[in-house]
Amino acid sequence: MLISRGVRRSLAATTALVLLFLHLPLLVVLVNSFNTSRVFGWPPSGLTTGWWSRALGNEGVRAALATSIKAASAATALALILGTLIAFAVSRYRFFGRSVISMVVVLPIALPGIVTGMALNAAFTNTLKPLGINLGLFTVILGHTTFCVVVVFNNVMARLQRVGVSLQEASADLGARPWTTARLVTFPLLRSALVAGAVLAFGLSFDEIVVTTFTAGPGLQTLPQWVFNNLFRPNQGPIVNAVAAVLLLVSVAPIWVANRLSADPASASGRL
Amino acid sequence: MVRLRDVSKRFADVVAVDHVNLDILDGEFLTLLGPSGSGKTTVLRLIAGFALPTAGRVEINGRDATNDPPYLRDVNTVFQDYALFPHMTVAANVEYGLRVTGVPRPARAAAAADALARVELSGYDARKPNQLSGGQRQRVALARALVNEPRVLLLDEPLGALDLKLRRQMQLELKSIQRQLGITFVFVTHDQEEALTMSDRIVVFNAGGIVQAGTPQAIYERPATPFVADFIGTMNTFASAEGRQVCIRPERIELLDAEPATGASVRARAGVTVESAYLGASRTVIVRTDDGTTLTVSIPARSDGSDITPGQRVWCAWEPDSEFIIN
Repeated sequence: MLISRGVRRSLAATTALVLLFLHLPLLVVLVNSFNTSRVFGWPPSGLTTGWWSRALGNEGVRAALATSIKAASAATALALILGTLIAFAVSRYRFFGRSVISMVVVLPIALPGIVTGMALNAAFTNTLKPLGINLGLFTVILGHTTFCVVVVFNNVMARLQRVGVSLQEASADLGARPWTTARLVTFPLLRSALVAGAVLAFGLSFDEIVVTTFTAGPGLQTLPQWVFNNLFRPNQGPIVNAVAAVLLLVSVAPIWVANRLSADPASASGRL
Repeated sequence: MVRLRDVSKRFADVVAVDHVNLDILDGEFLTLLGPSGSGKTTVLRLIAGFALPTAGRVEINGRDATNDPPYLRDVNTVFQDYALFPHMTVAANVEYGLRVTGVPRPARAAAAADALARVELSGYDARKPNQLSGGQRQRVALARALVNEPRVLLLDEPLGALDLKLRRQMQLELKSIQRQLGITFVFVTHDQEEALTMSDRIVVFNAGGIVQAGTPQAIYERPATPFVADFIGTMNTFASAEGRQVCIRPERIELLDAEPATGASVRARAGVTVESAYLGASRTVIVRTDDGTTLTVSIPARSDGSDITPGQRVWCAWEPDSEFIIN
């Protein structure tokens, strides 16, 4: 498209402003986690790693971090299994209700977290409690799995559609039994899509707070919940910055990894 | 070798293959020829086991294989899109069939090297499929399918993606490989010229059924139905004096300047040339006869410049043996 120099410059300036607006606050959080001053101030009065070591030494932070890692790992594992199975069923077989299923599976990512949270809370309290299972890590994992499944499903679906069925047919034609085909052909072709889906799912679960609040029950705290609960406590400010920086990195890294892995395995890069 | 008995395949409400009976003989080069949607590819998939028939029976090597999965059938396939494993090297692709059937590593490496040598791709073993040209991929697909030494090789329009020159060359190579190995080739194509060039026998498909089966010569010279006559080569069709449909191939007609010496031995019609196109080795001339029939005539191209031009008065003549009647 042909545009005049003036328009081009103002577009560039607007873009730069928007990007600054989006990312400057994140940078402030990161810098403040090294700020010697106790208050949220600018510019930093000096640099220190003290808040980071205090954050790492903090009992509450360590417990919350452990909880978050446990929840995200388990939700990711469940999502990998369920998402992959559903993607295979939907893309490889024709059956009644197929299109409804593929929509219902994707729905949780669009649903407001507060609605998912309320609904799950009610469901868990009514069904699991009578069985002796109270709100806790297990229910958080189930809650997170509902939306983690979506990213795995989407990644695997896209890959399955791209690679088609002829490679599996070729494998069977050459004498490979179904499990051999799965091991030597299907899995290697899906591997990068599975890794991409897994890191995205882990990232989604790791920084989730709304669904967590409704499904965690008393006494359980994930890292985002710890941040939320400590943000306005007078003495915790800089530690919160350090924890927030960790959350930031864990959430952004998956996007970068997933982008690199989503490339077509058959493309010229040959990366898998 | 392969025997189809009353085989039908239905997809939802479409009948892709309708009561097909076919005996494929040991060592023959058989071509399944037909327009797209005629059922030829589905028949190939039914033999390979990628699809199961809705009705009927598929026998391979005298054994009922109707419901066998592909990995139990002694046939191998060269796919239209080649279906090479993109994450494996050329050598790993070719070895695959031996690897999954438990052949030890040294033996399969040797067999893969032999197979690659046969398709003239020695030295390419460490490449990935995406580093090969279309023609090279085609050869790898062929080597991979041959490495298991199948009794029957199925080829699903394997030359469709190649340019014309490469295609001609591969046609001859496939034919010579088939003769050397002495195995049965079942070749699917919609290209009638390709079918005529390569086959021992052609099976013409239309609308899910077999219309005619026979040698290329029989199919070309004596098509059984108007569909076959029209699908294979060019055919002139016109009504005889008795009102029957008469057919004659363009190259069976001669063009003369004057009326031939009449007699029962020659058929002749006078007319005016409408078009004259030079094709290198031959020339195609369209003649409008005085009784209103349009005839396409193919004659050897002349090099002395005494060529036929539109608007010339000519006689079309042919031997009575060359014409035939289709019901």
